[in-house]
Amino acid sequence: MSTTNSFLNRPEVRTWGPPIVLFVIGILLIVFGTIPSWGKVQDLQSDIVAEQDRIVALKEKSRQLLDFSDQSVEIDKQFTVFDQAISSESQVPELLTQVQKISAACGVKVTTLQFGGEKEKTSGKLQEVRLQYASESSFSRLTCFLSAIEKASRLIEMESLRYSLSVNEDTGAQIITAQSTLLSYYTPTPQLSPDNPLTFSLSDERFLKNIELLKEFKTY
Amino acid sequence: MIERKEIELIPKEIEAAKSKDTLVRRVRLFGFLFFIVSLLIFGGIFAFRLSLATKLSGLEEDSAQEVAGIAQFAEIEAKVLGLENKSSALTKILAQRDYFSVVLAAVETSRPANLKVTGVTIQKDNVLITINGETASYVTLASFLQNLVDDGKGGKLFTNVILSSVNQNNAKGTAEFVIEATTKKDGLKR
Repeated sequence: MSTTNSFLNRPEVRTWGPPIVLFVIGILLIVFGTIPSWGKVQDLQSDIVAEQDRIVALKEKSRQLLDFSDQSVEIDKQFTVFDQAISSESQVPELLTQVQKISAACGVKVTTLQFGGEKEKTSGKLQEVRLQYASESSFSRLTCFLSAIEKASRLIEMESLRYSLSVNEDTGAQIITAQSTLLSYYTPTPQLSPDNPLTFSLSDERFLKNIELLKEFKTY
Repeated sequence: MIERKEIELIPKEIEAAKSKDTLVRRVRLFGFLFFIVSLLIFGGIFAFRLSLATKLSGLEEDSAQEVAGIAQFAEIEAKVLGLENKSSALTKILAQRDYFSVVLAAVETSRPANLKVTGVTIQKDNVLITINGETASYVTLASFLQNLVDDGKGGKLFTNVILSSVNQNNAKGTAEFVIEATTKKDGLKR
């Protein structure tokens, strides 16, 4: 203690000590206070700009949703139409019934109908589902089935088709045995995020064209 | 010439003490001013930072209110997004779709009456189509091959046909053949 006191009482320390201490404190304030605070200020400024932009985007989305809610009857109607073409995930099992109905409409006897085939695409907004399909019919009925599949409101594609003709030795009747991989699609439930902007419009030219296209398809 | 000399009355020790005193005062003043300026800058920036933080917090509250407003329309938003996804998917699917009925129609149009097509194999996005059949006459088979690339018949779809095999079935008295037909690029698309 006496050593400290004697050091502080030394005339050079009393003379030069206070200005040097004040200078050092000033330096410390700049290094550990001002510079980091300035960095934070810059971060805050960019955060504020981003938040202001976000509010503008959110307000625009809110306005769009308000407009859409005024047209909810039309949206419901169009959603039902498009949902028949590309179903939602919950309606995937209905595909079996629809293929059976299309086959029955053309008088094609279904011998195999099951989900399977190559693995499904699991990414993106559109997912695939495959059916293994086999049938027996005449050639004209198979042609009818192909045309019906192509004109069905539920979008079903043929990924492969192999048919062979055989003759019933007893009756002499010709039977076409067809094997096919059918491919259909569904859209998973969309993930809602307030920050995702809405780019859809009911008056979009492509959307209106698709509405007209779907009118030509037959619902099973 | 008389040399003039200034007489220094103040002792050198006192002069030295004065100049040291001036230096000490200047250093003290500089230290004090430096400290004050540092403190003012730090305080100013800190206050500015606080005001920005308050402003940001207010903006975050505003955006939270907007988010809550948007959440009220979740059902309609899900339908709009679903509609958008389905519509864009529809365009894509129909553009890429292969219409297999076109192949059957082209084969049937090209088939002579006394030739039997016993099998057809078609793969999506594959221009090669395999046609199996049987006929009692090689002339009929030649006619079928010609019809497949005839512009008025199968030629609307097929660009080239190759007879890849012919086997004589003596028991039935027919020739069983396999044809590899090449379609036009995007020939199965509409």
